[in-house]
Amino acid sequence: MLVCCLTLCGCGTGASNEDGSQKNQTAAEEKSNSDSNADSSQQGDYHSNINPPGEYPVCKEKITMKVGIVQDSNVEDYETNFLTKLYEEKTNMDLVFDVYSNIEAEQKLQVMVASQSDLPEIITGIKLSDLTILSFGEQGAIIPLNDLIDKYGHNIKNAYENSPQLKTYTTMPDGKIYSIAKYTETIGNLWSGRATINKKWLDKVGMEIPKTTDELYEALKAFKAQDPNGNNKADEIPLLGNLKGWRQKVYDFIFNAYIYNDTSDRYIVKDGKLSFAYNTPQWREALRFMNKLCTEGLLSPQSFTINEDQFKQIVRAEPDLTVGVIPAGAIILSAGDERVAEYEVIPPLTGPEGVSWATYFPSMPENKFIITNACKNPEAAIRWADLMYDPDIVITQRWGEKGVNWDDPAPGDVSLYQDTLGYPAKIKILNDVFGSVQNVNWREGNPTYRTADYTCGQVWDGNPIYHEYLISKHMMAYKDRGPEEYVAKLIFTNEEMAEIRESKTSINEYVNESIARFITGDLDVDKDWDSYLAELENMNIKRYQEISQQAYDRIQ
Amino acid sequence: MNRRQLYIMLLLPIIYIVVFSYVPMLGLQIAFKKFDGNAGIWGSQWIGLQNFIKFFNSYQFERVLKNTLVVSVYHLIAGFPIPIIFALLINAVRSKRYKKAVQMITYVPHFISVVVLVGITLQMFDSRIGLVATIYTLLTKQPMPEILGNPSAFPHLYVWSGIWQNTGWNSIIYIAALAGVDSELHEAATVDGASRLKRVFYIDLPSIIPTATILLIMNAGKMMSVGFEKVYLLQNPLNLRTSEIISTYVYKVGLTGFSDFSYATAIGLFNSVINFLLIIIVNQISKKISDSSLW
Amino acid sequence: MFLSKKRLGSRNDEVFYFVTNAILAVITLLVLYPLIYIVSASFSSPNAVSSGKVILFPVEFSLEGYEAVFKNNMIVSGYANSLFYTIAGTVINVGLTLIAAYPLSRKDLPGKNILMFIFSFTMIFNGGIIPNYILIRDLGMINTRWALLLPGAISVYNMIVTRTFFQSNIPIELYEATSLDGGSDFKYFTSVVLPLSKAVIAVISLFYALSHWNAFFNAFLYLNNKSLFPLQIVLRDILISTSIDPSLVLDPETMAARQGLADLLKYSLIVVASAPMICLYPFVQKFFIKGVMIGSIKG
Repeated sequence: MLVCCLTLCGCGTGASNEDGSQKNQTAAEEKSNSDSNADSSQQGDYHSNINPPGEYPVCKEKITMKVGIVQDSNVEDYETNFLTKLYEEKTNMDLVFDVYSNIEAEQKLQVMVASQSDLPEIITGIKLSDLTILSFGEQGAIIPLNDLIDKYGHNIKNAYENSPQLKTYTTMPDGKIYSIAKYTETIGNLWSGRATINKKWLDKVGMEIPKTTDELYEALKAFKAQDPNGNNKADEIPLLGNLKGWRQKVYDFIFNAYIYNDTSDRYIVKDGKLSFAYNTPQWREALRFMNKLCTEGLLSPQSFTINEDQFKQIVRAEPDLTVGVIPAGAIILSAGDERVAEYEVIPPLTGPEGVSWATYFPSMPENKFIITNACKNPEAAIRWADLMYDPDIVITQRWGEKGVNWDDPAPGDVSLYQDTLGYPAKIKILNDVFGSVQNVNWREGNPTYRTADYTCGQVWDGNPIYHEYLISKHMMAYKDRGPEEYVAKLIFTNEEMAEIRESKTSINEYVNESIARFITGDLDVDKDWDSYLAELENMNIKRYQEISQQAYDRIQ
Repeated sequence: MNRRQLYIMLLLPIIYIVVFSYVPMLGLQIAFKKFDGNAGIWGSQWIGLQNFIKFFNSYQFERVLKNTLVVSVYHLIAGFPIPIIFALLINAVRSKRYKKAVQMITYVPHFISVVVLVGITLQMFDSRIGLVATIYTLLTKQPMPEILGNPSAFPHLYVWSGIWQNTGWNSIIYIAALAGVDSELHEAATVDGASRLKRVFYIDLPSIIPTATILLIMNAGKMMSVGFEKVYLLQNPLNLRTSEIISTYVYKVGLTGFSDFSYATAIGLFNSVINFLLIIIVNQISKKISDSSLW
Repeated sequence: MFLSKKRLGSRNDEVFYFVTNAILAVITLLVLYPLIYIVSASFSSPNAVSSGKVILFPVEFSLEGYEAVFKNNMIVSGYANSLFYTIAGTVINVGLTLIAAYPLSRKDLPGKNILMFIFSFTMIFNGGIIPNYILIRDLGMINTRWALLLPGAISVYNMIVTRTFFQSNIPIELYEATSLDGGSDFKYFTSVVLPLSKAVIAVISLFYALSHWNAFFNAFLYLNNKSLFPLQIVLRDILISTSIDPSLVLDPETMAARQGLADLLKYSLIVVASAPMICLYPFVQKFFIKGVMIGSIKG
């Protein structure tokens, strides 16, 4: 019975009969719900050409699969790629590619779906937004995967179990899963809203690493006045950031000493109730503090206009360092530059009211793999996706070929995170080709499930100024300093989004714009605050908040 | 006389324009519909002016319209006469080699991509390490005030970087027209004792006025289509008050994340209608004042 | 008396010429500096570029950027494709534009204004992405070279430029003379108008060629095959992918090396990608002069 349903579901989904396919899907869903207790490993239940979950090759008879893939300019050729060959061998499928340029690729897919054009069977190689996924799903262009995963998933199911958030955040508001995600955990990134300060300068002016906003102020003031780099020029910039780089904004870490700042939509959650950080008195005090820094020349207003390249140039200045405090998720000084040792991490600052948060950036799944209504063998497709979550192939998907690009660690090797979090050495990188043109994998344009033990378990060569090692040290000061309740991500329905899109975009723009203007003094924290709040009301922040709450409640 | 042959010549271009321009134009109706891919363009639900009303009522409408107008009018006023003056200057150079060299160099920026142009602009005007700042400090012994983050500086940056990039290129057409001036006119005028400067005003300038008029009409028609990419790249939170224009706004509201094709089409259509009115007005004026007109 | 007048004129003229040359010299220098900077940066070492050491001349001379450019297969095939699209596309464009512009330039063509309006209208209104995509798909041109050659084959702007040229530079007396001899419009167009219009043909060819060379939007929308991609697609792919998401790359050393090379590659790519069009120009400029000389025959 089920076989029949799924086969129908697989074959009957041409662009021409949307209605038919949707009916079939519903039928399949009902069926699987009523049979949810049935043992899914029963031999006879599977599609006649597909081997049971976990057994390879996937297909008994060779089939062809047409894949639409977005070109990564660092992947030489998808046809001849090492990983492609591995997939083809494991699945017994012939992969045929439509290659899309990566410029505005999402928009191109939207145009193809909107104009009812023929789609490939699989689309991958691109991170698709939830709204796109949802709208494709509503239009019937892509098929829901819940039942397929239930029946054919093995690694995927394990992953959903081990990382519940992976499942939560790929499930759309209609309860369906439409995509297989790329999910990677890098501990250093979870607590990446860090700032570092020049310890050598601090020693020179006789101060300790600041713990409070007041101490930060004193330190910056000393940096400005006392020529800590000792070149007899007043070229010191006490505090500099930029808006474009990763976690390099000059203000985000300071806000956290006043009120929790998630740095994107800036929700705060208390007892399940959502509100925003940027219309609170605490926010205003934070702005007042930073305005003081700016007025006294301690925070450079350039932080709002330069780009990341210019920022790096200034930070890396030769021969004398000129920047005292650097906010950044990564290390900005060049690799091998020994002056990096002068900088030490500033722990989350404590504000005048005792607030002291670190922003938590949870790992979020990225939608990377969808099966379209043109797919003739969805069962084979899902088993292929399941293969991508296989612990062995995960390494190939990121690092490449064993023995060439990476190897097992030798006895006695220590990992980068050994002395901080105790991860054992798991993988020794021989030749990382991720950043150059290569043909060993798809540079994780595909789904993957790469947990922290891979990235943190990389063998460390003992170099004390190796950047990732420094990051593992810095991270410890921030780890687990986030709030209990937080908004990781909200998935809105298209209707909800249609209602709040303008508010959400305008408000976020306006808040970011106003942060810059309040800090630089273009707006006055005393005189202009009320009109700032009124402006937010104008943009309908109230409705935005209600709908956000609605979306938040849905995933609790 | 046989006009038939002229129509035969026009046949192919007309078929072409009908197929590739007018047929897709029927799709503009989605501005008045709630576009649904499954129903297609014709089958989508008609919602009248709802998309337009949404735009007019939106919080940003007034600001983006004003910013678009400021930038585009400024661009037209400054950007239009400069290539003409430049062409006249070039045409008056005697040394063929110098003329050629100047032309060769000044047209090159046109080939630079917008990304690079903006990169250069940001580099030059950086208040700390930029060339402009260095010169400013040399002359005044004062650090240069912030330019890139100054909202009132944005239109100048936009317009003058455009002039830097396109003056040489835009003058090509005038130079070609000037080259068509009958050399006997110049000879005759020289015999009558006219100075070179006089000849610029009485021979050269009038000879390019028809070309200039047509270009002015067309520029007016394109006025509201301010270059999206460049504005987008020059934006920062400090100058957003003057740098948010219709197209960047459409991009942010309509096309990031989820595409609302109907809404985006509606705003685009609104923009086109304004362009259309502008071109008609300028064309009428030009018809009255001079002989040149588009139709 | 005649002589002295001329001499007086030329003394004033000397001032005029001097001022003109001086103004042009300043303008040229202003334009020149950033260009020199780009070229110098493209010949410098990656390190010198990313640390901002390049000011006027190449620092730590190296060809690394160019090596990287020419090692990339996609750049080479993109180059070949772009050359094809540019040449074939420009031929189609110029042909269509000329046969549209000439009849419309004739004051004695009935219905000229209506036709002109029909053309001009398309300059301002267009259907938008989806209707265009549907059209190209229904014409069966998705994933073919035609998709880059045919849409946009007439730029109304260039057509108007050409028409204006015909109106003001082809003396009406010429037409009257040939018609009296019993010549047809076709024959007049091919044997009289075209030879006199080399200047404008050169100009619009250059306009069209440049727009083909720089076009990328249609390519990204209509092509699904790497071997058909033009250079601009490859270029943007590379420039975009250089803004690396640090959360993707664990090894910062690779990242730093990659970033440095990317900065450098940007400049070499700009030089390599702009070179063909810049080289084309002097060649076209010759035609300007020729066209002008023929254009000055008296009617």
